[in-house]
Amino acid sequence: MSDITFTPSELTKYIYKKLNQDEYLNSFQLIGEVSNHSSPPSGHHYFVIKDDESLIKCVLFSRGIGKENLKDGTQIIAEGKMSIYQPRGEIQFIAEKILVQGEGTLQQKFEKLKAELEAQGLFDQSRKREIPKMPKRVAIVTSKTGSVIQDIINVIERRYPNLKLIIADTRVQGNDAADSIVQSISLINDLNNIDVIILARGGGSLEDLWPFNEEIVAREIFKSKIPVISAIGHETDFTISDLVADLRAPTPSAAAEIISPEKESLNELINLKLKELDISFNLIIDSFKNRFFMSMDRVLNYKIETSINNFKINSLTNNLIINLESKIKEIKFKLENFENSLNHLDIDKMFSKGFFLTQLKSDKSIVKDFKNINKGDHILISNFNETLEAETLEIKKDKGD
Amino acid sequence: MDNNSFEDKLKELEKTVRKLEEEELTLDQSKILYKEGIRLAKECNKLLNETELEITELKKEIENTDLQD
Repeated sequence: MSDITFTPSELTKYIYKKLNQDEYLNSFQLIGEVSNHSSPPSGHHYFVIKDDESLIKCVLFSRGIGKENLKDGTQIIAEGKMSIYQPRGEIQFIAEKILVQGEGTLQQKFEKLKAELEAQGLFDQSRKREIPKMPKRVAIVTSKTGSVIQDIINVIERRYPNLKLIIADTRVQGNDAADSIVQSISLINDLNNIDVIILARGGGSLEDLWPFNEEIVAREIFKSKIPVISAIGHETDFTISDLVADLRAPTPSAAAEIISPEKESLNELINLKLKELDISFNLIIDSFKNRFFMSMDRVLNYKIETSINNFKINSLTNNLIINLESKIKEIKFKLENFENSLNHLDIDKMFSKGFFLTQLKSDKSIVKDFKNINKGDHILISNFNETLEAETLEIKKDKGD
Repeated sequence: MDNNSFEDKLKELEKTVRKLEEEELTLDQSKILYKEGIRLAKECNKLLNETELEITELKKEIENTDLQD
């Protein structure tokens, strides 16, 4: 058991609040038979609406509409909301407008026709035709003076102007609107060269949009050989025409977008195709080149190799001649050097060890011993590149002395 | 009806690219296709970017059609 407690006044206040917050009970139509109608001097009307099983207490305040429809036994539609009469804790319906049922409200007519046409298959998904992606000739069924046609033209001009618009000036409001719409659709079908029809109208009340809920319009759309896009009112407005049409666009501008691809994406597509064209062509050229080269391979290679070989041989020969001459020179030079080296070999070695060549200055004879050297003789002492002249001062015959 | 529409040209361009990609062609044939593709792409581009929306009224359209008949 919960600990929550209410006094009767707290409870009625709570229920009152809840009823006001409820999204359905806050505004709806109560349909049934009037009973126990009374109208005291206050000007308010008290009655019940009942069906076979239940009854609901109702009030229509003096400012309410349709008092004249309140007669016991009449089937009515009461527009209003649920509330609670706090002094007595009684749930009651506060009516604002009373309509007699059977006279047919637009909503009822709509529901009735919708059910009929649905049963006859006019709304079947299977019969919906595809809307061409890039239609060339588009017929617009709408008033030529409204803002709707301008919206459509603006969208198409911005996105994809490469098409022809045929405007079927049509009455889209009032008693003769349905006939006008039927005639336009029919004439467009007679033209035999239209790709798609857009049936368009701006937003409005249920009454304003009513022509698009007429049976003759629905049947003409159904009969049309050309696909029909319906673009009637705002996104929240639904008409019978929307249900029969091959496609429902939420707004006229949206319908224009549906039949006009974006220029930018098409430009990109063209560029892509160009690129593919280039790649394919280059591949083909390459493969032909390869085939050409393969088939010409031997011949070309032979030619090239031959000429290369010729060139090689020529240059080799030239080199050889040049080389030979220099080689001979080189060899000659080396030979001379070699001789020289041979000549100098021992002496060089001796020099490097500190021995020198000694010659008698007078006859350049090499001094091998001192027998012929006398005091006063000039002698030359040389290594490989320097020579020193010396005078004999004394000859010591015996080392031991 | 008319083969000068953007869509037709785009389709033709796509066909040309496909041919070039898929078919066994002689060098001359592929050269012709390549040139044709470039021509089509140029024309597509022109149609897309230089064409102005044509607007007419149903009444006039019917008159014209009747005259043609």
